[in-house]
Amino acid sequence: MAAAAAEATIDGGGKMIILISADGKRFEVTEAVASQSQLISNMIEDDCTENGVRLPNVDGDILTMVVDYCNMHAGDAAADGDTTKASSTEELKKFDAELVQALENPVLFKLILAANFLNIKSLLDMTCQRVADMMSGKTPEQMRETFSIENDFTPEEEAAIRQENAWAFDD
Amino acid sequence: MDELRAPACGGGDGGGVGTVIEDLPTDVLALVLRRLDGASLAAVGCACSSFRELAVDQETWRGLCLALWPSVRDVLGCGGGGGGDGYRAFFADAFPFPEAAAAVASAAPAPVPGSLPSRLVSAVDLHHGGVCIMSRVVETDTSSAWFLGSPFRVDALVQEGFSAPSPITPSSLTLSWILIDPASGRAMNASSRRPVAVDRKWLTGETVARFTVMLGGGVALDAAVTCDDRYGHVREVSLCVEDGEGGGVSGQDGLGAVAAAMAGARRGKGAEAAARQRYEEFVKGKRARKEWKARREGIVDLCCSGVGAAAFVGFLVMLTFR
Repeated sequence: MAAAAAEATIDGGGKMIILISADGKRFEVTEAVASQSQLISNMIEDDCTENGVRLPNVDGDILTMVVDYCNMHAGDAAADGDTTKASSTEELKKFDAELVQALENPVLFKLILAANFLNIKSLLDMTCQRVADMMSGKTPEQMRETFSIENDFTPEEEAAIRQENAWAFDD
Repeated sequence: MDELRAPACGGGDGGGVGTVIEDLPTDVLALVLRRLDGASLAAVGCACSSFRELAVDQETWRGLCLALWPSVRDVLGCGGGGGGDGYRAFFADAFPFPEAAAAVASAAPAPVPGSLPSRLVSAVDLHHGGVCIMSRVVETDTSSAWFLGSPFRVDALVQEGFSAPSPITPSSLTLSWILIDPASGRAMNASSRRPVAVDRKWLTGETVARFTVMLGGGVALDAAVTCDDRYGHVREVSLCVEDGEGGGVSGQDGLGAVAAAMAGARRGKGAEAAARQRYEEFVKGKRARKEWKARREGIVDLCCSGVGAAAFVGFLVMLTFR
C-alpha cells in the first residue's frame, strides 16, 4: 500500500488518484477526472485518497469503461468558455452513444451499478436512458424475453393485470 | 481507511455470471421507468410482480399526465379524488382512443336522462410543433334543458381567439381534448391528437383542422381548431358531435354517446392509424349517403317535372281540341 501511495503522488501537474478495481487492476487518473464521481469527490474533500481508492464492487473491465467515460467528459465541465466546444460536444455524444449501444445486457447493468455506486450522474442518466429505450414500445412478453425476467404472476393475476392494461399493448 | 464498503450487488464474481435487471436497486429502476412513455410503463408493469410494484408509482404517472396535458393540473378531483390509483387510472382512461365498434351499443339502450353526467369538464391542450400554445379547462353544465335540446357543442375558445408567437402550420397542430365526468371520475380522449383533415376556406382565409374521433353507433366526436395561419391566430376551438349524415346531434344524444364511450372499452396501441382509417370510411360513407340522397332527389325532381309537363301538354291539347 505504501508503494502505491508513492506511485500515486506525482507532483507537478494535477494531483493523481489511483483507483483499484475488485480484481486488483489499477487506474491512475487526475483529480479533475475522478471528481466527476460524487463519491470520489467527497473522498478527495475528506482527504482519504492517498493510498488509492479501492472499489471492491467494480470489476476491472467496467472500471475501464468508467475511466474512459470520465476522461472523455473531464473537459466539458472545465472548459466552458471554449469556442471549439460545438464540435467536441458532437464527438462526446457520438462517443457516449457508441459506449452504451454495443453493450450486452449484463455489462450494461454492471455499468449502471458502477455509475450508481460511484455516483456519476451523467453516466447513470445515459445508461438508464439506454435501458428505457430498450423497454419502450415492447409487449410484456418481449420485455421478459429482452431482460430475461421471470413471470411470477399466477394465471389469474396475470389475466387481471393484462385486462387492466390492454390498451397499452394490444392491437 | 481506503476500502469502500460494498453494497450487496455481487461484484467480485469476475463477470462470468450475468448481472440481470433485477440486480439493479429499486431507486435506479425507478429512474429507468420515469423515462418511459405511458404505454411502455403500463406494459412493463405486466412483466412481473416486482416491476408491477414500481410501475404503479403515482408520482411517475402524475409526471406523465402533466407532461402530456398541462391543463390537467387545474382539474380538481383527478388524482386527489381518485384515491391511490388516480393518475394511473386517469391516464389509462384518457390516453387511448375510445372503442368505436358498433357493438359498444350506444344508441340501443337509450340512456335515461337522469343517468347522464350532469357536468362535463374539458381539459384542452393545443400544441404546435411540440410547444404548448393553449391550455384550458372548460366546465359545461350538461343538465340544462338548453344544453340537452340544442346541438351538442362545447367551446374551449370562442370568438376572442389568441395569437401564437409564430405563424401556424395547421397540419403540425396537435390537439388533446379530454372529457371528464367529475361525478364518476371517468375520462375519455375526444381528439385524434393529430389532425385527420385540414380544410382551407378560401373565402375567409381561415383553416379548419379537424381532430375527429369515431364513437359507437356511427357518431363522431368532431373537435376542430379554426385558425388564421397567416398571422398565427387561433380563432376557435370547439367540440361537436356529428352523425353519419353530417348533421348535428342533440345535446342529449351526444351526451349519451359520450357516456357510453367513457364506460366502454379502449382501443389498443395501433389505434391512431386505425382511427384515421375509420374517419376516412366515415367521410366516405357520409359522401356516399349524400350522393344517394342527391340522386334520389334528382329522380323525384324529374318525376315532378315530368308530371308537370304532362299536365301542361294535356292542358294545351284540351285547349286545341275543345
